[in-house]
Amino acid sequence: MVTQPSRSDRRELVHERIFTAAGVTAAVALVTTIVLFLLELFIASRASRAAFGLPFLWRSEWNPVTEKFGALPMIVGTLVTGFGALLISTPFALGIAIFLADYADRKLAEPIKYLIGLLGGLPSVIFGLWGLFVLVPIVSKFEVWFGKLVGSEALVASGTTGVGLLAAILLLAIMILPFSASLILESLLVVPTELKEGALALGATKWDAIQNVELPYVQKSTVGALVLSLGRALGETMAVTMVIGNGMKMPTTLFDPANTLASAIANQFLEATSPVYVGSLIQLALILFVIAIIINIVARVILRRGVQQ
Amino acid sequence: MKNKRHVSILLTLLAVVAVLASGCSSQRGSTTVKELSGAGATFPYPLYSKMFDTYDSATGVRVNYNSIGSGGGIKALTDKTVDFGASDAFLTDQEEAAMGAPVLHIPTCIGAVVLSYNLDGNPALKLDGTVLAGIFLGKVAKWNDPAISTLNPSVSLPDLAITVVHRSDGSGTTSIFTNYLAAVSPTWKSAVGAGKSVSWPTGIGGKGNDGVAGMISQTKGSIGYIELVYAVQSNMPFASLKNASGAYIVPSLASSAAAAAVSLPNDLRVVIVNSPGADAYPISAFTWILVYKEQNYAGRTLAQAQALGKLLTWMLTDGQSINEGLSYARLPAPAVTKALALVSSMTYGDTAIP
Amino acid sequence: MTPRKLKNSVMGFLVAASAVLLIAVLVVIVWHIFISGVKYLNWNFFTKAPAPMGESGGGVFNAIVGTFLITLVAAAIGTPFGMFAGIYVAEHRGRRFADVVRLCADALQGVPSIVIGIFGYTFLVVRFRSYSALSASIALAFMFVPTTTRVTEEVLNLVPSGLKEAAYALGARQSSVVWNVSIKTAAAGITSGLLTSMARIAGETAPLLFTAFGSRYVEWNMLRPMSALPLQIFIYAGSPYPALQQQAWSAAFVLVLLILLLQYSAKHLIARVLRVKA
Repeated sequence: MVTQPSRSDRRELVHERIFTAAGVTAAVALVTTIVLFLLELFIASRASRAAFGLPFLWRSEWNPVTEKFGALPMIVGTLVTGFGALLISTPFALGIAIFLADYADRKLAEPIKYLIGLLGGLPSVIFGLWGLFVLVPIVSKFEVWFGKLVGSEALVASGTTGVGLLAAILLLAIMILPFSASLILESLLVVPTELKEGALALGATKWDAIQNVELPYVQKSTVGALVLSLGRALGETMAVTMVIGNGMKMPTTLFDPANTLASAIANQFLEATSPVYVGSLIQLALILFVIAIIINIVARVILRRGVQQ
Repeated sequence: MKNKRHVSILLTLLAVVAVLASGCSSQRGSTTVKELSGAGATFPYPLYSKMFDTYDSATGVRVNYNSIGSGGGIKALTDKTVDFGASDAFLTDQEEAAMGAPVLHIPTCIGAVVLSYNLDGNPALKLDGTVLAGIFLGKVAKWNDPAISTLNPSVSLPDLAITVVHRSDGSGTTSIFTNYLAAVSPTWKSAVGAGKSVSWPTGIGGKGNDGVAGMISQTKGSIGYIELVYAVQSNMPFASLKNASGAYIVPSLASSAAAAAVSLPNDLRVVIVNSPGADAYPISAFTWILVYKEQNYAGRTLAQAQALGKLLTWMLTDGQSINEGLSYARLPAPAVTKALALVSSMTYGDTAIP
Repeated sequence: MTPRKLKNSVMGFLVAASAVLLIAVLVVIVWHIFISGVKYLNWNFFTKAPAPMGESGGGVFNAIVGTFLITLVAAAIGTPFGMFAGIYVAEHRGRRFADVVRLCADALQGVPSIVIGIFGYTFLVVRFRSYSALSASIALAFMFVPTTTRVTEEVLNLVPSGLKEAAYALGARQSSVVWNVSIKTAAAGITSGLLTSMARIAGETAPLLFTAFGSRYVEWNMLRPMSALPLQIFIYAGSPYPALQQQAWSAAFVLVLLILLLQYSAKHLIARVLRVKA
């Protein structure tokens, strides 16, 4: 063969090198980013660890005056709102996905899918705006009604504002609904039609086929989709910040104003002055970051297994 | 192939944007400074907003002020991300230490914090410091408590629980109010203390002056503290307070200005709550602009320092005429003189700024 | 009716009901934004910066400019990283490192926006000693890159392997196969992915809170604080002045329109690429 590479060949070789270098650089940069985030957050929060150490995680006092900080109220707020929203939205998400996969014909399904995409693409701050001016007054009326129902004067008094855990849970449920519905739908659509048709041919009703054939088939990927939605709900910031009430105490009822990890940061970061206060808020960000990464990786692994199966 | 073009068009567009952006950015470092930035207290925001707008039309210098709360203003100045901070509370020793360099407190106006409430018929109430501390400590829990009714013999008070409304965010208003309570009630001082956000023994929290105002107007039997401007704007009732010389004073521009008629220290770092003046409303306070005394830091230019000095001087002189139209009390003459002295004590590289 | 048939009908009804409910919720939200938003729209709203507090008039031109600048610069910074990482992952499928990169992209996509905001503050703003639109763009680029990576990879995976094999058979190098065959075939798909990613970051608020910070003025300098529509909506929503709350709704309306426009262009391109392939 030719031993002397032609000029165009050499140019291609240079191109190839540049091209490969760019790819590798970008790939490495992506991986480095995660490490960079971890490092930066870890370093910037050291004042908090020096002051409180590990008990930061389970102390329930958050007091900027005495500079005693503990993350428990925010961790509880995050878990309650996240799981609460998931609990409310999951049946609906399943219902919508099944409706689109098995009941609606294409003419009906396409516009609905488009609407789901639209709802999922609305920015968090717009959900927050709607939540603050439309949902919160409704929740407030409900709280007063509920307070009178159970005869709790305190509830009537504290509930009139409408902001708090309940408003945040409802808003989050609406926000993650399009996300989980479209993820579940994706996995439903890959169920082989022969399986369903076989069941129907054996005399099963449509729902029998769904319940006994389709749902078991997508069990794993549905769990993955729900875990992923949970991850979304836990990290959701603006909408929650606008309706949860920025309460720093441990919430005792669903009507209490509270904070999630994310909303505490959004509400308080700009006004935190002392190094310990700032460090504690960044420590919350670090906790949130680690939770989010773990949940995402777990969910993707489950999803991938579901698909492989 | 049309498809090829999509990527190249988009990439070209993005590249152009990047070049344009870096082009725009290179304006920095010119000798005349046309832009200053500040952040902090929400209470004087309507005033500052009007002042800076007027200043822009008069001089062409744009001042970008973001009202993110007093704590935020202090943090921004500590991190040196703004030219000046603004706060309703002066720096604590700890905050001053975190700044790492001396900071000047330049007052710009006087504000009053009023006690607003929601009762049937909204009667005019009189309160004193001890009762107020009792209410906010949760010890005076009913409106018909003898502590309140003895101060208001002519008012028939209902057998209704008192709902305390306080701020949930870090706030200069809270700092002023808790400083007052700590000044008049030793119990409050030891049990809760004073600061921009405190651990409240009782009550519900609202974000911002407007949040608290909203909660009071929605909740029967509630009482909370808000800036005078907000109470006036939303037609809410507010209580007269017994001052240090024993008179009951209705909060107003005049009575809050009267609180500043005391001998002021040269650094103007002074709390004027519980002021001894006969006509002084007891929960009055300065709101300050905070700047570093030494302006040569973090790569700042002399031109920036000069522009800042000019702005502050204008706010203390011509700018003061804007105050009263917007329900803020003017600074008394002695305070202006001392504040101007503070502004001219600013240095650049240890020499006075020309 | 047998119990099984009854169950069948009941479940069918419930499933359809949940779809109806979703549509109802969506209609209510969009309706509010549309009605409340349009009501207060006027020419000044698009062309003027905010008026001083307490004065009427003024608009959000500053925020519109900010949203365009910050989003475009973020995309300009993020595109090369995201695209090349996506190409890398697609071309090295099955290799361990490519899997790691893909996993990192997935994980980054799940990082809460507020964490990115904090990172932007400690990593950029504190170092630059100034709030700036540029630090906001860089923060948003961290959200833009992983989405772009995944989209690029997915689109490249759709390129028929026959095309590539043919090119290899003709003796083409990998780079030229990727560039001349894969990328060009997938161009519309990648562009649509970029638009989708832009639609996503244009509505983000949390990464801007501690970086772009906001400005009352129309600002073109990326090194200075700048406003953006989502930021303005957040600030106005919490303000005590009804006039500003109304502007929040109008700004929300404009932002939703902008995002819909980006999504629509993206969809349009995807439809086209599918047609080309078919």
